[in-house]
Amino acid sequence: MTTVDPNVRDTVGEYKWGFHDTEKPLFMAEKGLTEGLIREMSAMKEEPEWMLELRLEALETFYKLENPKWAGSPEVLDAIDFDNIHYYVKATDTDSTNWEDVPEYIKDTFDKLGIPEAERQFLAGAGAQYDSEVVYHNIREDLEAQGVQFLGMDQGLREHEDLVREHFSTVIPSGDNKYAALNTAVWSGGSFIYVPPGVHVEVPLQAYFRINTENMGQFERTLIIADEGSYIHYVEGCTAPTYSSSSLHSAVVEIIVKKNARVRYTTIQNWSNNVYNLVTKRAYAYENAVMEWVDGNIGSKLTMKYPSVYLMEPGAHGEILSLAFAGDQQHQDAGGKVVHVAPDTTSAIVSKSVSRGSGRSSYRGLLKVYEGAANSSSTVRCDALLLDELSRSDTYPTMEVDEERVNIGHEASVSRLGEDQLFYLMSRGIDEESAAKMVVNGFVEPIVKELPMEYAIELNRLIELQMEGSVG
Amino acid sequence: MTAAESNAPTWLAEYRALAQRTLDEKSLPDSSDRPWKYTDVTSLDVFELARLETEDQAIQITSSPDNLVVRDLIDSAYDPELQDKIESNLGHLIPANEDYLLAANSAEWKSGFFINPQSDTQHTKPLVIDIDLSKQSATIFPRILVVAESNSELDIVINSASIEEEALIIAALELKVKNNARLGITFVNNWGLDTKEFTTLRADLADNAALNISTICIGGSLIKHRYDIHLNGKGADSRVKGVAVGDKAQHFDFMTVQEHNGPNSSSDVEIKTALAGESRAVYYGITRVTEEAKGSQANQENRNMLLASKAKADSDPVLEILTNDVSRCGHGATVGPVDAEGMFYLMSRGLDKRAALRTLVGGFISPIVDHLKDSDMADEVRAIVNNKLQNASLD
Repeated sequence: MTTVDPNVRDTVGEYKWGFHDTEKPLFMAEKGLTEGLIREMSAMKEEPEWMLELRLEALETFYKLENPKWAGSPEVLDAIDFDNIHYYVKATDTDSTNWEDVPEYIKDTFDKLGIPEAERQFLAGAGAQYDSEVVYHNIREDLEAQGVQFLGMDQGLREHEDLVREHFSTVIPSGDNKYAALNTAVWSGGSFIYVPPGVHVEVPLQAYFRINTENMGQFERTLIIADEGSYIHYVEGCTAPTYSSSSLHSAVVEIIVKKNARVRYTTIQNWSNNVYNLVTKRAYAYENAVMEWVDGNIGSKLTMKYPSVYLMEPGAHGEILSLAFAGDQQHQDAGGKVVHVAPDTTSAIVSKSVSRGSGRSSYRGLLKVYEGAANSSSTVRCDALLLDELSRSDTYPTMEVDEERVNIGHEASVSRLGEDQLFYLMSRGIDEESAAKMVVNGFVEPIVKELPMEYAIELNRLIELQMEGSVG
Repeated sequence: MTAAESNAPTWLAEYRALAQRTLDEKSLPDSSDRPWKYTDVTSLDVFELARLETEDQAIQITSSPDNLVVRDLIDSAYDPELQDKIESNLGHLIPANEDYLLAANSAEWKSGFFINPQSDTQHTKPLVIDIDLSKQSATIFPRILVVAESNSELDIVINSASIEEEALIIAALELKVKNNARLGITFVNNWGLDTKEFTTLRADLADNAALNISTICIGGSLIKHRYDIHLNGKGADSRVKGVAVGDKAQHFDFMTVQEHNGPNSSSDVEIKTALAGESRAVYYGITRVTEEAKGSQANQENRNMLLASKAKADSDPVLEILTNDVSRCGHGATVGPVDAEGMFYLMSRGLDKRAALRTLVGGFISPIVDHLKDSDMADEVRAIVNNKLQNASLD
C-alpha cells in the first residue's frame, strides 16, 4: 500500500480513497484493444461460443461508432486514448464467498473502505469487484434458500447460462452507443441477480467497485431480473486511487422488472477525479412494475450517465432521483430518461445539482411518450445550485410527446447560494462555511432522504468534504 | 448576383459571390444538425418554384409612420449617402456563408427594406409590411435590415398571406438595436395551406436596448422561425411571445436563442401552441448566461395543448448558466390535452363542444394575443383562431 503522490494530490484535490495497492496482479493484459485480447479473455473465462461472438460483433460496432455529437465536453471525451488502457486486469483467481479467502492486500483495501463492516451490519449480501474481476460475493443464507441469486456476472453466466443468454444485451444492445459497445466487447465482472417470484429482499444487496490499476478500464456488466411480484434494493459504491493519468469506467446495467415487481437501484459514485465514468443503465418495467433509480454522482473527471426506464406495459411506474455534485474541474453530465411505451404509465424525475469552483453540472434528460401511451403522466423537476462565479449549470430536458391524452410537465430553476439564507444562519452564530454546508445539505435533502440511513450519512459526509474550503 | 447589380459596389458583389459559393458547396441541413432534429428539409428544393418578375407587389409597405427612414434595401446599397451604413451592417449578424438557407437568402434577395429609426425619435404609429403571395405560386427571399439608433422607438408589423398552391418564403432579418432603443416586431402569419416559410431573425441589443417579438402562426404547411437574440449591452431586455394554432399536417418549429453577454440583462420567452389534426409543434430554445452577464435573469416557457390524438409536440428548453451571479433563471415546458374539467364545466353551461374548446384555447393563448399592441389586430387574430378551431379536425 502506498500513499498518494503529493504532486498528484495537488492537482486532483483531497480524496480519502486515493491510495492504491502495489501488488502485482495475476494477469494484466497489454494496453490496447484487439480481437486477440478479447479471444484471450473469453478463453480465460471459459465462456460459451455465443458470448465470444457477441463480444467480437460488439468490437466491430465500437470501432464504427463515434463519440456522441451532443456531448457537453467533447474535448474531454475525445481525449480518451483507447490505446493507453489496460482492458483486463485480473488480481486474483478467487471469486470467493468467504471473506478469509480473499488475498490479504485486497481484503485490506476493502477493509479500509469499510465494506465487510457494512455487510455485517445492514446488508443482505455484498459483492466486491477489484479491477476486472469480482473477488468476493456473499448473500444471506435464508435468501439463498429462497432462490435469490447474487453472483458475479461471470459466475452467473457459468451457472445460469440460459437466463443470461435470454436477457443479456436485450435491454441495451451493443449498438446503443459507443461505450455500450465497448462494454459488451470487453465486459468483465459486475453482478448477476435473479429474484424469484414473490420474494421480497427487505435489506439491500451491495456491490462495491474498486479500480486499483493505473490506466485501467473497468467494464463491469450487471444484469438484474426481478421476477413477478418480487422486490430488491441494490446499492453500488465506487472508488479509485488518485493517479496522474486517467482510468475509464464504462459499465452497462440491464434490469428487467416483471409484472408487479419493484427494483430500486442506488448508486453512490465517488470515483477519484481522474476517472472517466461513462455508463449506460436501462430498465424495462412491465405491468404495474416499479423501477427506481437513485443516482448520486460525486466523483470522477467526467460522468455521462442517464439511467433510463422503459415503461413497457400498463401501470408501470418509473422514478429517477439524480444528485450531482461537480467540484473543481469536474463535469457531471447526468440526468435520466423515461420512455412511455404503454398506456396508464407514470414517471417522475427529480434532479438536484450543485456546482462548485470551476465545476459544471448538466442535467440531460429525455421524456418520450409514444402514440398509444394514453393517460400517461410525467413530471420532471430540475434544480441547480451554483456556488461560485466560475461554476456552470446546464439543463437539456428534451420532451417528445406523440400522444394527446397525457400530462407532461417540466420545470427547472438555476440559482445561487442565497445570500439571505447565509445571512440568517450567520446571524444565528454559525460560521459562513458551516452555513453554506447547511444550505447545500438542505438543497439535496429530498434525494438523500431516499437512501438507506448509512448511505445518507456517508453521502452527507462526502458533500461536506467537497464543500471544504468552499467559502472565502 | 442578379442582373440589375452588374455595376454593384465591390462589397455587395463580394457578398453575393460568397453566398453563391456557399450554395454550391453546402447542402440543406439534416436531422443530425440539432436545430433541424425534428424538422426535415432534406428534400426541399429551394429553386423549384418560379421567381416573380418584380417583387414590389409581393413585399410592400402599406403604412409607415411620418419621418421614418425606410428605404428599399437594394437602392440603399447603391445610395452614396446610405451605402456605408448598409455595408457596415448587412451580412454582419447573418453572414452570407452561415448555412444553405441563409446563403440562399443572401444570394437571391432582391426586395427588402432598410429601416433606420433616427436617434431620439419615438414613432407611435407602426410600420406595416405586407408579404403577399396571394396571386401566384412563387419563392421569395425577403431581407430586412433594421438599425435602430439610440433612444429611438419603433414597432414593425409584418403581415403574411399566400395562395393555397405552393409558395416558399426564405426570410432573414438583421436587427441592430442601439443604446436605449426600443424595437417591436410582430409577425402575423396567415399563409395558405401549402406555404413553407423559413425565417431567421438575429438581433444585437446594446445597453438598455429592448426588443419585443410577437408571433402569431396560423397558416402554412411548414413554418420554421428562428430568433437569435444577443443581449450584449448591460440592462438589455428581450421578450418573445409566440402562438401557433395547428391543424391537419401543419408543422411549426420555433427556435429561440437568448445569449446573455451584458450584465443585468433579462430575457423572457413564452411559446404556446394548440394542435388539432395531425399537426406538430417543435420548440428548441437555448438560454445562455455567460460569465460576463452578472445579475441577469431569464425565463422560458413552452406550453403545448394537444387537441387531437395524432397531434405531437416536442420541447427542449435548454439552459446554460455559466455564472452563479444570476438573479433567477428558469424554464418550464408542458404538454397535455384540453382541460377535461373546464370542458365539462363549459358544456354543462350549454356551450357545445366546439364553443367550449374555442373558449379554453382562447384563454390559453390570451396572454400572448392580449399582448399585441394593436387591439384591432388582436380582435382579428382572435377571429381567425376561432374560425380555424371551428373547422379543425378533432377526434
